[in-house]
Amino acid sequence: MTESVSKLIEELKRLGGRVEEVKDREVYLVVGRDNLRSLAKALYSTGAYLKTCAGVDERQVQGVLSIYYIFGLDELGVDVVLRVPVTEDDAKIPTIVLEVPAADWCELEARDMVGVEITGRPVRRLVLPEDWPEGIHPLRKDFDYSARPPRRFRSELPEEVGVPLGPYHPALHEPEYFELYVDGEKVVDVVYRGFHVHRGIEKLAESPRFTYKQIPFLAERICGICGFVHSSCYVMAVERAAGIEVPERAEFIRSIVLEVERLHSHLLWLGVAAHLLGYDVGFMHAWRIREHVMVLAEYLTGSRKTYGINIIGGVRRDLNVDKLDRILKTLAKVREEFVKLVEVMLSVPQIKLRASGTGILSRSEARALSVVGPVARASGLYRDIRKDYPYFAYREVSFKVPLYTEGDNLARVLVRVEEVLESIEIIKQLVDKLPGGPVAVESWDVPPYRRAVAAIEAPRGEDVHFIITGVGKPYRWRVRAPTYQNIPALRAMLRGASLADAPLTIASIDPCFSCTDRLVVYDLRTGSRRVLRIAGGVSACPL
Amino acid sequence: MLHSILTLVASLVGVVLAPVYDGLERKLRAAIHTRIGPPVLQTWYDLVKLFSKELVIPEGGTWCVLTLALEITALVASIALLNYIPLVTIPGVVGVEVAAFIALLTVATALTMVRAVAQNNVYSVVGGFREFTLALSSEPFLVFSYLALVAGGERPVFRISSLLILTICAYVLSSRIPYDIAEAEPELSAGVNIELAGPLLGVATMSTVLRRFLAAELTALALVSTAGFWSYQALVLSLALTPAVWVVHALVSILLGRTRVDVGPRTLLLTLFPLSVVTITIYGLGL
Repeated sequence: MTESVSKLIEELKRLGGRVEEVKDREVYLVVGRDNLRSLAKALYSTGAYLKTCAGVDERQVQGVLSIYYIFGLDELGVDVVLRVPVTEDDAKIPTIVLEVPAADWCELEARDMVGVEITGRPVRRLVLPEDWPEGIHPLRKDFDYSARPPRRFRSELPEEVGVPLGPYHPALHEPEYFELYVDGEKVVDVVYRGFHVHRGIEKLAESPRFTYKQIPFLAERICGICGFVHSSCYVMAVERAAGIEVPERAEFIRSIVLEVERLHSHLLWLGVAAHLLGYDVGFMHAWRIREHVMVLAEYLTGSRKTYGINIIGGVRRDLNVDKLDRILKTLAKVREEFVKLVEVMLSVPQIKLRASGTGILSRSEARALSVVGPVARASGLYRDIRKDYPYFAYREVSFKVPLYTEGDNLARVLVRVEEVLESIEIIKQLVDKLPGGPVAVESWDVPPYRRAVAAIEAPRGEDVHFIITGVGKPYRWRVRAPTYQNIPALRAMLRGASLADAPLTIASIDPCFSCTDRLVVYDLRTGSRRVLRIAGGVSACPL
Repeated sequence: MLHSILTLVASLVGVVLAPVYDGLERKLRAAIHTRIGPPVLQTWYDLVKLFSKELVIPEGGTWCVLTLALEITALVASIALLNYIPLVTIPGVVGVEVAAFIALLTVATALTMVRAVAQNNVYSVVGGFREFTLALSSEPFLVFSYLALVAGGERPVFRISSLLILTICAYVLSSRIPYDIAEAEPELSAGVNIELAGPLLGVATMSTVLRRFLAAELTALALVSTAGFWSYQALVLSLALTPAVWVVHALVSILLGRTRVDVGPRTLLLTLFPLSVVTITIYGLGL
């Protein structure tokens, strides 16, 4: 623990925090709710970012409900976790949104899922659907995973049906719902409503059908594009909590596959961005180049996507000489074709013109909202978990973190373009330095009620997994995907912008929502249901 | 009588071939994308399929159907008149046929806007206004350049300058990228066509294809007439040149991205207005 961290801890103790546990990368403090705001303010003013907060039902072990606020001190590479316990009878915690705007969503989520009331701010349902009954909180331990509470149907159709999808369709084929209020073609305000297809994965992991060993495969299915990030982050959290020493070779393999995943994700995004700007040549060629990466991923892991090679304590697949050779050959081809593509793409007048000066997110707004990944780096925030909190084999390689200050769509394009080239260099270095030895530990054990925070730099930014270990499976597993942190920034990016720039701006955070979108309205009078699709049409289908 | 028959035949050939040219464009686009792409006749297959579907009348139905019918009629009539004009007019004289052609061309665009607003859908309305903005910033120059070419006489520099304006405006008329902002799929989910399905979408698709044919043939005819051809020769040569112009239009659209609703019209005005002033000056100088 460095002197700076020690000083900070002393300051936090002076403000009312009590140190619970100090680890290499994490400091846990218990805070009374009356002192929470002053501690949060002190932490934020020292340059900490709010990574996320997590509501935890700790009644079985400590007799309280808690919210864990996870702050990251990037410059020190240390996480400070504030735990605010409250009793069930008086489950109220004051908001820290005024001090830390980035806490907006996670406070509401803790309120929905664990039932801790947040005071001092307007509240609404964030995650739970409209028809979920009052007073039932899915992440409380006495709520069984398989329980299905009765739906609270409305006797009349909700008024929202009249304008179900807002005045504008932002064209991403995922279940996002933006209402863009426009004056002519100028966006004057934005309302986002998400979580249409919340899958309850955190609760699912607590169900009897899952154990520590199985959850990596569940975690990998959180995202259809960067799933390996989630399984890596999960296993890292468990390994840190349990103190499992992962073989170095396994760490290298994980890092290689993570960078392969970044390559295909950024190429995918670049293609989508080109498509949104009407430049389908860029779209097709970006995806053609991506195909080389997908084939490589299949060769290395057995799957084009959802690789399934992460296990606690290592990986399931080793790399041999043939595979290493194939990696280098593929990368050489990808690099050559990618450089040509970018050169051509950025010379198309409409691409540069429409990306420049649009969707601007200022540095101060980016800081206030604790945005992550390319969105942060395009707004001048030097944030990259691979550098700030080196994990796996990233401490063994040198690479540049692309940084732009313009904060516009073009800056986000350029950050990703440079990251593709950096990823290629990172993989080359990893292949070159790949150590020998086993790829997994022979046995491991996870003691109960240990805590750990793990973070991985996903293609979209920092992915955070927080874990409290249990018996045979996690007691609490909190997942915070990067898009969760970046979506609130869209309001700042879209307000005052042109309607025509909205699709690119929304896409510029590389949002990862979830799969099929539909909003189902039950009509009790006719017994039918209507599925309202995002494209604006209403189609009838039988129950 | 012979002129009328020839016009009819040429127009029919145009209407039949336009979807084939569109298929060629799709094939060309696919080749540049490194895809196989659909068969050349795919646009015809699409149209046949759409016309075999049930008729679904969107909200604002009567107006929508009526304007769509009038729009495609205006476009077919425009193509017919375009073919007819070199056969029956003398270069340098603006007759009633030329005036009718200009009127029909303008009406077709206006009907697209009326159709968009009639659909009572916010995407469609926004698309309609985009169409209107584009029309305002290009169609007056299209009319000007067409009249200049028809009535300008033997002034080579003036003709070339007018031809340049007409070429740009005809491209805008074809509603291709970067000027497809009225439909702009990622922004407006098909915009002016959002509520259309089945046969109505078939008519709208045919309307787009015919508009592209008209844009290509108009440019081809302008080229041919600038080269000094008129009457039968002009008609035959322009029909032969039309697929080549279509391919050029396609290539331009493939290699560019979509413009923004405020940037596109402004760029057009900033380009076309000075060009028109220069053209008028050239005329004044007798060049």
